[in-house]
Amino acid sequence: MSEARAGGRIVAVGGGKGGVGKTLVSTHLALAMAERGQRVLLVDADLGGANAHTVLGIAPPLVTLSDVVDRRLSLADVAVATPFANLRFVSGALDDIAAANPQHASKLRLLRQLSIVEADVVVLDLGAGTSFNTLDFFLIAHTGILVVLPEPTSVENAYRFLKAAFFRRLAIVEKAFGIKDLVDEARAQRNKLNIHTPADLLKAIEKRNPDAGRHLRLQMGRFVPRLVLNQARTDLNGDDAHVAHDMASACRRFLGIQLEVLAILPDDEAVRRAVRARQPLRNVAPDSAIKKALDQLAEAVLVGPVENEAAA
Amino acid sequence: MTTSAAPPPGTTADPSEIPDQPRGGGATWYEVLDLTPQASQAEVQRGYERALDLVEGRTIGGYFLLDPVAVESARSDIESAWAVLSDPGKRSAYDARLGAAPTLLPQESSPPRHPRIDHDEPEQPSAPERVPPPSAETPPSHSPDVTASLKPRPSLRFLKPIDDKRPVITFAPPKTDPAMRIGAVPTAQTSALGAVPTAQTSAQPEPPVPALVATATVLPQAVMPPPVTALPSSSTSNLPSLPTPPSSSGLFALEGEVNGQLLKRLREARGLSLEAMVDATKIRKPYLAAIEEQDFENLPARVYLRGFLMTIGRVLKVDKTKLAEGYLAFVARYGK
Repeated sequence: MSEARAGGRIVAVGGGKGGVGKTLVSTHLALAMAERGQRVLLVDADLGGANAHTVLGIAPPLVTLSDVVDRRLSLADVAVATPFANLRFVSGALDDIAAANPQHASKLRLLRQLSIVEADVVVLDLGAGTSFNTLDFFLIAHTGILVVLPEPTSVENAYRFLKAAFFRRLAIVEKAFGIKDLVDEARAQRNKLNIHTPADLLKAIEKRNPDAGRHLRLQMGRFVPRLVLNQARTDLNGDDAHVAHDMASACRRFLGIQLEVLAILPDDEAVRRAVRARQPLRNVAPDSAIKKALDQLAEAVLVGPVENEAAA
Repeated sequence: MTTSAAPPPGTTADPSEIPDQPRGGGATWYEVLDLTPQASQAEVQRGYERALDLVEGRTIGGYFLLDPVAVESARSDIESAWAVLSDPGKRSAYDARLGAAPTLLPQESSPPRHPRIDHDEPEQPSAPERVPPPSAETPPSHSPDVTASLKPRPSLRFLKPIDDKRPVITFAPPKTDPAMRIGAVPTAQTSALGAVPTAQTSAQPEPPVPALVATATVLPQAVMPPPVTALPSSSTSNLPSLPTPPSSSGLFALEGEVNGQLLKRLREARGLSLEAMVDATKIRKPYLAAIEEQDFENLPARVYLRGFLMTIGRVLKVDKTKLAEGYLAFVARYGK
């Protein structure tokens, strides 16, 4: 891995919907990477409903992201040590409504700090929903992970999240490359031109201006969200893994978004035990299938390619 | 070559109505159906059904993928893909257009692209590029193999050919297997058309470049069957006999003329109300009613009708291809 970047590799874990296992995945990723000797900073960026500290089994730190949003402290100041070697933790804002919806300038400052903070890996545990705040955290990440359950509600929210993230990134790219007018023009005519999906929009732009279109396509082609299907079962009714593969295929074919299936995590009661024990899963159920699968996920993220660069 | 996998008569209208290339995400008609150019007719058919299931939200993985307007747009791509790829003549013309300079690996009859749910198979080595056959002669893989798509399936929604064979971390079946797969560096999948990467993961993904020049944007117009003039006499004397119990294939046999009455009797024999059928098929009630009532004027556009009939056949546990072809033939015979 190249260490050319100033900060660490940013891994964001989102998913659109609450309760799909974002915190499970992000805390475990952080712990597994720390165990492999990476200096990890876990940031609970669920600004409205932070609870990664509970999953880690530590007391909520006294300083939180609120203090960074308020400009009282820097990100490094609020990163507290944990009982786990190589892992530092930044707590989300716990009861601070203002911090849950930071001003644009505060947010930019936070994003900048995330990208230069002293760490090998920064893991972001994102909140639910598709607010700009959540999307922007997802988009600055080098690896953006979407956690989904094999349930219609979760799949529906995941598609919403993907489309919103795509268009958010498009807005950033079009501004950066001075082709905002072109994109706006296509967008303004979206009914006339039959533009309903990201793929339609890119095609329309490409038709209008092949050079700009190709460039845009290249930029947007770097948006490769990773899919983690959680609570997957294999039984007489079939194999839930197909949900993940269906989603990837559908995204490619009908949305023009490359979604890559990164992991299929088993439905495992060990997760419930760990949450109730308020201890990390890897301590409560070290031999569980889910723990092993999550370890492999961490490994895969570490050795995997760096994506989504130049988004911010 | 049987005609069962070919488009129903009259479905594929004037070729000029089929756009040159997909409007949506896929770069080629093959990609729209998630196929390679080597796909057999049976695979084309399966790809077509799966694609409809996805965009119409009949599988979990496709749930709310698209908003209602976008569904129509995607559907027209799928129908165009079907119209081109299910017709051997159109398909080889399209292949010729696509493969300007194809070279071919030696290839046995039909590529192994059957439904698989086994993710724990060893990784395929980074496949060499696969490109369409060079010669004009139709490769053997085009020969229809309809039976493959008619095998009993425990649950259709989950059984699909997994084309995405890139490494995925998955959990081992409960017991022993320590060899959980590591999704290390995903290998870029070689695409249907050598030059068009479908899912590249390197830092510099060259985006798929449409192989065809975008000229036509004309959508295939919905082909409505003409109004009914003469319905077949539906006296009770020639009521169709109900299918015999399931064969070893798990499907009920389908005999005699396939018409609305038969569909209705089949449904009732399964103990399904029209409403239950709406639930099971996700097809709107007026369409289901029109199909059963042989109300040709109110049938859905023919290109959709086929998909609906396949779905109905699936729910009724009969040979759905036979049902669809039979009913479409019935409409063709009496609908004008």
